[in-house]
Amino acid sequence: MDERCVLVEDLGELLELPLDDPRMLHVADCPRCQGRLLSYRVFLRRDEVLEGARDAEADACLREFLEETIRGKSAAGGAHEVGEARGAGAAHGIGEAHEAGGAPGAGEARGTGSNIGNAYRPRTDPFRRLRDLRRSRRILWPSFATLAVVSAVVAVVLLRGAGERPPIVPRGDQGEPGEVGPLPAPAEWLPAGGCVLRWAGVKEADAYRIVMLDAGLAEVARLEATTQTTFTLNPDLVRDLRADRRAAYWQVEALSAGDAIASSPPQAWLPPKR
Amino acid sequence: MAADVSNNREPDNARERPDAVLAALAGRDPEGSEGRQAASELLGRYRTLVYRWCFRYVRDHDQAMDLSQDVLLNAYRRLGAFEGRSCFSSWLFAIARNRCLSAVRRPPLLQDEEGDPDRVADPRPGVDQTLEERSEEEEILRLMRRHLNPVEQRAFYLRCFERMPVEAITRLLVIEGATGARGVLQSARRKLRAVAGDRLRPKEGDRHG
Repeated sequence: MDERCVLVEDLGELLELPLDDPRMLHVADCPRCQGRLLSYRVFLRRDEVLEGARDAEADACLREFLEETIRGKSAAGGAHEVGEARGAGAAHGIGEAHEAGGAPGAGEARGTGSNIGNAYRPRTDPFRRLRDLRRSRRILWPSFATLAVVSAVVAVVLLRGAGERPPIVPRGDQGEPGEVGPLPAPAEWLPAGGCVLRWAGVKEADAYRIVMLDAGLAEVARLEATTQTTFTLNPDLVRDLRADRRAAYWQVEALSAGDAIASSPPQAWLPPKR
Repeated sequence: MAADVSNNREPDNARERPDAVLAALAGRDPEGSEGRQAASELLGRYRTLVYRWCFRYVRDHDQAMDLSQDVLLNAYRRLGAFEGRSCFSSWLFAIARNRCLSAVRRPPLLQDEEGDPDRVADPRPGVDQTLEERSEEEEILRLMRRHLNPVEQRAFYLRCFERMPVEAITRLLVIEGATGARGVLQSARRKLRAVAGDRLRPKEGDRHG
């Protein structure tokens, strides 16, 4: 790729540049950058009518999805916080899900608040159970109370023997990023052009693997596994990965018997400005 | 190119906070109440745009919803890695674009629930394939610059590399005439075949063009 080509994530800056800026002059001559910039403009368009798209319905469902995903994390800990957000969040676009109206095909949801989610049920909806659970919470509340007491007793019994058991290692996305995975330190750039990556290890891991990601967080390369908690990229490798500016982030995966058991969040991988 | 879009989402009123402020809040305190509220507000601003982008690719409401949820969830998980060096809108666009491009490259199993998992290859391209594709892309771009006019260049890139539907290209480039972008693409292909011959093989996503 041409060194001057604009990364997709940098397209936003282009729209602010004057036409005589060197980057814009390059865009004017580069089909790739023009195509990407046009795509980005299409992404930002709100006025285009898309035949078959159900904008209002999608808007209501995604609003609820985001609320479940982001705010719903606290719902398990207490509805108090969610309730507060719904009361105070009107200015910030939060908690409006129960006011949705005008969604074609979602008429029965109007005024019934939590029924809005019925307008869309993806085949693999990871939040369906959580939603159903929340709806039935009032009915099941006495059962929950009993369950909580029993769980507390069981937890006390289990904790006594916890010292003899290996800790539970979440796999894949089950874990919260950064909490159970290896914890990376900022990349150290060497004067000769190499780079050292370091991270805090994971107890159960017997090896680590480095994954390089591009600006869109798509994987571009996997570097060999190491048993250490550090990895040095020689200048040639750095040059290769930076050649077309494709590697912009790195992350480390903890391996156990060859299987990835946890991974770090992506870390920026940009050389210091000279 | 017509300036009919706004760049980073501008606040509708003075009380709304800019994208960069929300992204910083969400990245600084991802588990806190304020961080979550900021993430919810920020991603909420773009949820419809993400859906519409996905819909353009798959032309199916349910599939577009699945993709949109993936994109928003990915973006939420990775907000901590967003360092504010670029606009949030283009950072999110990069995630949405990659997700949709990989979706249209998916093997049939992911669309056919009765497929045999053992017979499906890893959807990720291998190193050799990636290098080959990159080198082929460079070659095509070189030929495009030399032999196609600007409208053909744009239409061809959008169709073959961005996998944009033909109708969307017609509207975007305001191509008039009965055949719209289809005619422009045919003309571009003819020119490229004439100079490149067998070096150009049809792309998987280019069947409908």
